[in-house]
Amino acid sequence: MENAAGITIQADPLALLSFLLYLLVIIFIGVFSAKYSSSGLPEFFLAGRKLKEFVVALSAVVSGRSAWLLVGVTGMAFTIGAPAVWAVTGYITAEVFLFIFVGKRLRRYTAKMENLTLPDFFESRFKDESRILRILSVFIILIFMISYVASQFQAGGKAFSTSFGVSETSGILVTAVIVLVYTVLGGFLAVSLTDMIQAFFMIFALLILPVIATIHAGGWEEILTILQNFNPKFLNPFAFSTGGIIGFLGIGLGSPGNPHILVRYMSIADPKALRKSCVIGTVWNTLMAWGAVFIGLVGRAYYLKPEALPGGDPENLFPYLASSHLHPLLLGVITASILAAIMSTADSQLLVASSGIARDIYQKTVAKDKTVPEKRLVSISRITVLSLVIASLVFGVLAKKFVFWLVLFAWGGLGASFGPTLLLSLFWKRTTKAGVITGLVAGTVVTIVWNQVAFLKDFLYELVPAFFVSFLLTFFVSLLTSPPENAESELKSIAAKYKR
Amino acid sequence: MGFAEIFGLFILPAAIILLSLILYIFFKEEGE
Repeated sequence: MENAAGITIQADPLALLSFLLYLLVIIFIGVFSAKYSSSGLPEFFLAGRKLKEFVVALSAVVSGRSAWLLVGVTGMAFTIGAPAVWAVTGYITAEVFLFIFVGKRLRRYTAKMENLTLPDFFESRFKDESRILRILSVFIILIFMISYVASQFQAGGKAFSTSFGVSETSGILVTAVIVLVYTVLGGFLAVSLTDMIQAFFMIFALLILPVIATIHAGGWEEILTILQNFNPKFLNPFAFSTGGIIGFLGIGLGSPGNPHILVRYMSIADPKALRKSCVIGTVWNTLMAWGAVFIGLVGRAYYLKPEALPGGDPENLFPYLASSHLHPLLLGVITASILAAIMSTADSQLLVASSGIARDIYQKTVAKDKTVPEKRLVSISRITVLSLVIASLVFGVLAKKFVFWLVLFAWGGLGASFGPTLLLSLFWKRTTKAGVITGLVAGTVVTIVWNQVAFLKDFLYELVPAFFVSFLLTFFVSLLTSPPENAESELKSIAAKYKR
Repeated sequence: MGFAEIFGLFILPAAIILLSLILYIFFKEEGE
């Protein structure tokens, strides 16, 4: 069969078998979680805030790591070499601090106020009865999340096409249907449990492939010799422009503002346990990231000319290198790992977007004066997930060529709008509603405008300027307006009390 | 491999994991 890249691939029955087993487990989890998740919105959207530190740690890191890590970072390391480490250093370091400091405060505040979503949090924090904060937050979440999910589905299509030789369109549809089934059935619990399994697939694939490919090449010394002859600076992480390094590190500014990561912290049973989650999550994050970088480097030693890859596309390196070096059973695991990265991100984003409509728009705005039964709210949430999958598929078809651009754009837009406003809301008592509204709008607008101006975009990744503009505007507008009452005591009550 | 290469490929990831361990040790809350 011929895939989109024009390379003939024969799907191996063993690879298909191991892959199908993986899918069965994922769907079983959806069915298993369905009853619990049907009992109400806290269960459907936050697993009743009962998750353990290990699940939260893995779910938080893999929800944030999309196909961009497996397909994008491997391709980037293949193209630019060791400077790709800066693209992963920023977000991993940012998430170390998120687990310990931001996650705990957010979990304590949202549990105390019975908040299920980030828009819920902003409304409670600023006692906003006008609903402006809630609606604005949902609007921002929806525009970026639909592009984000669309890009994940498209990456799924690409992975299926390269590994099993099916058409990209069929691959996109299969990815969407699998995510839809277990997310609709099992809600947050299924999403978190499947994230945990997907985390194992991802780390296994990212570590085993560079090791086996290195052994097949004759060892690390052999790889080093080839790469030194190819380009003496290929393994030097500093052989890159300062602006490039800052832009790569700036990717980490997106972590505090991506709601699908933040809700993971809100779901932990004991906020103190986020300290353990921090270590588990960081080890996982780091090993996965450097595994991806090593795949790119080792892959370059094999294919010095990018034309040797399917379609000449470095983003095909990961599945292509795997198909050249691994037993078909392991190849199935590699494909599963790519789908795992995609699904673990798309499912979390779908739930966050769905909560924005079912909880924030319907329950808290449209039906605010009615008592809607919890089970009906869950049904509405499920229908919303289905609608969002369809919307993302349509959008994905319309914007087929821009998959990774879309990921960075969405990551940046969410990070720049929610990151600064959330951090200031959690840590600074003087933050005001007007400041947050300004910050949310500024983060979104600067991301979009910067991205559309070619010379600005080439100079620096839009997230970095958008984050700082949003931060400064939230700060200064807050200083000019009056903070809500009780902000000091509310923030004091959620602050951690450390042992001396 | 020079220091820059060893730093990027091995020391940097180890340092990030070490950072998480340091925060784990020094930010223990009352009641833990």
